[in-house]
Amino acid sequence: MFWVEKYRPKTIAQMVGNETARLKLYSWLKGWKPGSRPLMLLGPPGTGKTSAVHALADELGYSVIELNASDVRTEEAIKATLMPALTNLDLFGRQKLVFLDEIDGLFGQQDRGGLNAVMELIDKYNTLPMVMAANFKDDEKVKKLAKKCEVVYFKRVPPRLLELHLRRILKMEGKELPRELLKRVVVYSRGDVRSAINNLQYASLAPEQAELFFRDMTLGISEGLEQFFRARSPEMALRILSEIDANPEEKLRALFSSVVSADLDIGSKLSLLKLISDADLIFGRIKRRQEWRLLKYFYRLLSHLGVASPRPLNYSEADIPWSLRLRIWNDASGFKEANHKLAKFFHSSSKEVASTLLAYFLLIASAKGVLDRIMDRMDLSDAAKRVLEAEAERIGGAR
Amino acid sequence: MKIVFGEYFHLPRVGKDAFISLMKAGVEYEKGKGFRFVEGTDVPRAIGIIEAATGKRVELIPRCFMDGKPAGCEKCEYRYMCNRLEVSNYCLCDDCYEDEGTISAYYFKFSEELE
Repeated sequence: MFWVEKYRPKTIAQMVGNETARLKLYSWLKGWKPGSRPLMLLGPPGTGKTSAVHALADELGYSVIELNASDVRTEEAIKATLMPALTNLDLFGRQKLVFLDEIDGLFGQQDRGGLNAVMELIDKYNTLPMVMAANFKDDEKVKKLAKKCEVVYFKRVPPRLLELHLRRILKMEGKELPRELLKRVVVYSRGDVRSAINNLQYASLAPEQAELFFRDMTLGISEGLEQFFRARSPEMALRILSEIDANPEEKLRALFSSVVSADLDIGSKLSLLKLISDADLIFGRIKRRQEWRLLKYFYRLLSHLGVASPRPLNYSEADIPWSLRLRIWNDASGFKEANHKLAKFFHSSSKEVASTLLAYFLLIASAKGVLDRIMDRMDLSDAAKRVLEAEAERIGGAR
Repeated sequence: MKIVFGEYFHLPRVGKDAFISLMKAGVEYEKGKGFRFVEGTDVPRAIGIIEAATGKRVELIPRCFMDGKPAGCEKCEYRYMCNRLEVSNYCLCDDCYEDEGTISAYYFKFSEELE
């Protein structure tokens, strides 16, 4: 029997990690009453979203109506599967809980009405508790759904806790593993409990093969790049870069965002970006002409990146420097309002104003000293005025 | 700069914009005590704001679920692979990690929290 099934938690307290998320889930279901908002669980695979819902439902006496959204995607299919089941009690008189798992899989590349069906379920059928789970919080449709829900975030399980959880399973199985191998299992699983238990079972069945398998393990992009940036020589950096489990494009993008968001002087940043740009040119050629023999030059070039930096870089996914991000967060609503109102004046779209017209407008209006008058006429809020004035000053300064 | 999850910390004057951004990222602020990362804080975003505003690298330390002490990241064998922004906010301190009975106590403590 698979250990992952055998040791599936029976209660929410038999899990590890995500303590706050589990407590929130518990208090939500415990305090649920008709009309309560649905719950959305967001987090990477293997962090316990599905297990927590099933364990808690069992514990509190709910029967789960589950729809794995990866299988059923169209509006009709969702309605056909769920609607008949939406009575309050099951055959045994237990209350029902609707669980839509992998909700991000529901929409796929093209939404075939799945989003509408779920929205309708939320609006019309709030007489049953509903929980949704998704892996990717940045999916636009998941974001749209999340606005109608209470959101609980699940994160990866810290390695120390995961190790103790695995040790307990080994003890219950009456098996032992060398400590080094157990650690490799933990590292390889990267906070994914399901994968950790599967790997543990494999390692306990065939320790020698597992030893070899986990020795050749690859690195995730974040830990890989952290090691890459700390490599002492281009040769070592090259080896680490090749061990990272990502395609060349993903590595290039991650290196770019790490350099862009690094706290470096402009000269150093430029020289590092030049390296990335050269590598990008090579990769473009590889893709265009399918000349994969050039891949070694691509990696060799990138391997100099860490060493060429005057100070150690850190992995970052943000491809916009933080100073600029701050401005975007703080000034976004002001810009949005100004763009919207200016769009009417220009008989154009807000997008066109934001991308092209605004800069010219500010340049001309401030040069002629009429910006204040125009802003008053547009009836802009104080926040929007402040944002435009600052932008006009910035553009004027740059000129 | 080290920030222990759930513990107050002080920042030099970061300016109005950064302060507003920290509040929007869900960082708690109490006059006299300082700032604090709590449940609901968008930790990666808050760390980014602090790093941009202070120019210092921030190291986040989770707390021990068992006794509330800072987790033992410095001595942790997993420190090179553990992305502290990606893992949940509670881990174990060195003492609890070494203790044989911790995992059973962990499950028990969690069930107590439910009540």
